[in-house]
Amino acid sequence: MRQFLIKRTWHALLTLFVMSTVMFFMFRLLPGDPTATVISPALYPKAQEALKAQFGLDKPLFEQYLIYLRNLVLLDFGISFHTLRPVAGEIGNRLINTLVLILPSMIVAYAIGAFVGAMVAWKRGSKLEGALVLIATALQSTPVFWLGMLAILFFSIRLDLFPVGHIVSPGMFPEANLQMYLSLDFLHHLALPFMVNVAYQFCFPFLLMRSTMLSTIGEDYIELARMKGVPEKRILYHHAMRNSMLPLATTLPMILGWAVAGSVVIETVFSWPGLGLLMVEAVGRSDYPVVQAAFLLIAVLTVAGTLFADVLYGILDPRITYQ
Amino acid sequence: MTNQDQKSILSIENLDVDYRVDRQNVAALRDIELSISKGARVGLVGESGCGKSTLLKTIMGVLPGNAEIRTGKVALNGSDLLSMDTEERRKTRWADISMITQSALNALNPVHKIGAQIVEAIQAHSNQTTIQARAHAAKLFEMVGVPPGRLDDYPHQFSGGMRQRAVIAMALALQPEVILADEPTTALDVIVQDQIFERLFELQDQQGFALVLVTHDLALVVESCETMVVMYAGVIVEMGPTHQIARSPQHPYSAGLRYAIPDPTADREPISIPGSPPDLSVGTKGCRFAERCPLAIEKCVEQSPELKSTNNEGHKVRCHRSAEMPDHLEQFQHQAFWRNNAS
Repeated sequence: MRQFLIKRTWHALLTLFVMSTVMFFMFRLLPGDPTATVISPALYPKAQEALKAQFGLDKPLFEQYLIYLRNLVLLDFGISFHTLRPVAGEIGNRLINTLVLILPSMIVAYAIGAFVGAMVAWKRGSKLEGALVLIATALQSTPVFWLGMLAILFFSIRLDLFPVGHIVSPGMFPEANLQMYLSLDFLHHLALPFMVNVAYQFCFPFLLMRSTMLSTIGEDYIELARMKGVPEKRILYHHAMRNSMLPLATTLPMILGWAVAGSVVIETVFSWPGLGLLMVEAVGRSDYPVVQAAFLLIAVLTVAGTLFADVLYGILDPRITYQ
Repeated sequence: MTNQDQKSILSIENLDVDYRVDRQNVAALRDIELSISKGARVGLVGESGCGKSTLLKTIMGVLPGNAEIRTGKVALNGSDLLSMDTEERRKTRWADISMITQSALNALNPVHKIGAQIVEAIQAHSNQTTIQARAHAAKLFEMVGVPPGRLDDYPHQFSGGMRQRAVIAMALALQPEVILADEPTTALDVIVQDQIFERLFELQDQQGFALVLVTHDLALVVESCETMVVMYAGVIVEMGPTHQIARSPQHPYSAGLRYAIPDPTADREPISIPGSPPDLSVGTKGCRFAERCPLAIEKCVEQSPELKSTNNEGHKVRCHRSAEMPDHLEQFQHQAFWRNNAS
């Protein structure tokens, strides 16, 4: 187990290294001069040179790359071209905003999806099952931005129940702090994007759990448990659901990284000042340091999630051994 | 008969079970009549699809959703299992009748420790603490010949033979009066098969449970069971003392099974019964074996035979021409007779 962890961590680091290298050169290959947005062409050439030197852009590409790598190891992500403040601070705040939206909604979506999926499979053939499968399949193939816009149109504009967007009302909290995240105003803003995300993310665990359950129910060990006189509730939880959880549990951590990346769409629709919206803004401004750091963060989340899933699967399924 | 009824622990009376397949009813079991005495060892033979497993599932009460018990009674110690409510039924399972399943690997939940799965069975029927139940499980392991230290292993860590022993240990857990064994050793090699049966029969002698052994292996039944039941296409075609059926089968199908086993002492080739089992759709008439039977006559196609006693030792047969069987036994040993006369 320990050896496996060391090996897998090593693999994960290697993946991140390759990832960051590819990212570095990819951005440099993109057309357009990023400095154009920060360094006004109206400046004296000397001043332009000085500014370029400040960002380290006067050095040869390979040297820039080495500096980039050294800074990564030191967790120094540089200075935003746009705000001229350290990237780490910029991203940190936005990441928290993303996590308070994405994490709870994913947990709720998975908990409900898995439980409801298991229950409808257990009572196979009900009308509710048919209806839910239809709804989930439809929702899953709905673009989430469209779902978000419909929700805004109906709940915010038509019914005036929720604000149209943003994380808090303008001017309420000039600084993001704990008080803000605990305020009713924040929760009021959170509600709609939260529900849209739950509705969208609910489908996958629901459908997966249902189909896994349906095949688990036919297993011999379920029949044996019944023959043993084990009470039905215990068969459901201890045997059927426990075993059906396995495929779902592996997808959960990976999907977390993926969901943070996917927050781009939902945050744009709801003007939610999270990491996703920051990325959209930063790409628009050719703000390399911010974009690089944001992409890297998502890569780290995905790689870490995968590593976690591997370990989790080993704990949940004794047949998996680490070698 | 009265005498036998008193000793009888499990008795089944005119049981009919249908399966609903593609909006059509299939007669899976018809007119099953069976009485298992205390401590008896009964062999149940028949080819795949003849209803053996359906019969066991009916007794255990785990028939699939598309099955329907039309009529009949399955009585354990005189009380009818089929008319019990769910909770009463749950309590009788395993405590009174347990089962050794066909595939031990699939029957054990792969994510739970084997010991825990035995403890689960014990605790479903008693107030024993986990520690008491574990101690009991350790004793069971010793009885079937698995080191008790391996209670905390997972099923995949056991060899095939050990898994089967573990499943037997589980079946013994609550000292049931009847154990149903559904082809318990099909997945194992012959040497391990022998060891397991030897241990199982020893345990039966010690504990006195009745054992219903379902198998394709006629030789095993002839060797070890005092009573045998032959099923074909959902009905019992012949039942009685094993030595009588083995020596002189009264039903052509039993004769077919009997002579399908290679016999090294006799100078003959094993025969095979031509044709395949009939369509079981509801509403067919006549003897179900008629189309494969060399002795079939008009009457066999028209009218289904009843299960009747041939003597007072409990030998019963379902055949219009059973009285003539002794005269034809010699012919039944030759493949040509089967091929030429099957209608």
